[in-house]
Amino acid sequence: MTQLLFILSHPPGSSIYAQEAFDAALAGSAFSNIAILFVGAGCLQLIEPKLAVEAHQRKDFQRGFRALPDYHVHDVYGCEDSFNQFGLHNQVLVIEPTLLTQPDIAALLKRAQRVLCF
Amino acid sequence: MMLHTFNSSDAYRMHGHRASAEDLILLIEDGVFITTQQDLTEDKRIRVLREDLAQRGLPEPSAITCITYSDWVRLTVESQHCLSWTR
Repeated sequence: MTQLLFILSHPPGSSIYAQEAFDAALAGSAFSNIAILFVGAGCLQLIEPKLAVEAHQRKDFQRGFRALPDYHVHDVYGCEDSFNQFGLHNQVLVIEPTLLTQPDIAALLKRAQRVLCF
Repeated sequence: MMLHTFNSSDAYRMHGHRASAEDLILLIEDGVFITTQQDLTEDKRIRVLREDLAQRGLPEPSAITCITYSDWVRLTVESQHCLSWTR
């Protein structure tokens, strides 16, 4: 059962939300069964970083998503509508989440013990 | 029942549809401006934080329920989850 559901709705780069969420999720994975849900502009975090680190002066934390299975995080979801909205089906992604419809997302929320929004 | 808070028009436009019929929607911070942008009177799930309206000099909309911080705390306790949609 998902004890902690992390909802990531912020794009990378425009704020510290995205990176903080990933750090929090990794910390949460140490003591809970967690799931991650990318929604809205948060799905943009999944695009393989294109800019050189020198150009934006921040860590390319998204590449770390590939390490999630090593942290026993296997429940990684994305909003199908958002994927369509942002055209993510044509992009190279860091990882491929399981896509959920809005009713699926509502059911996931109901099953989760705790939800954390970033 | 879940409580969805929106702190901006952008957040509401992007994620407003994620609130289901039995959920509540609370507009806070700059999210209170949504009351001036569209007609929300038909949506009985909507609540607006009175203090954030007042701080922005906006009138209290007559057909929408305005709530206090204490009400917000009560709704938080009554909700299964609180989902904070921010932008």
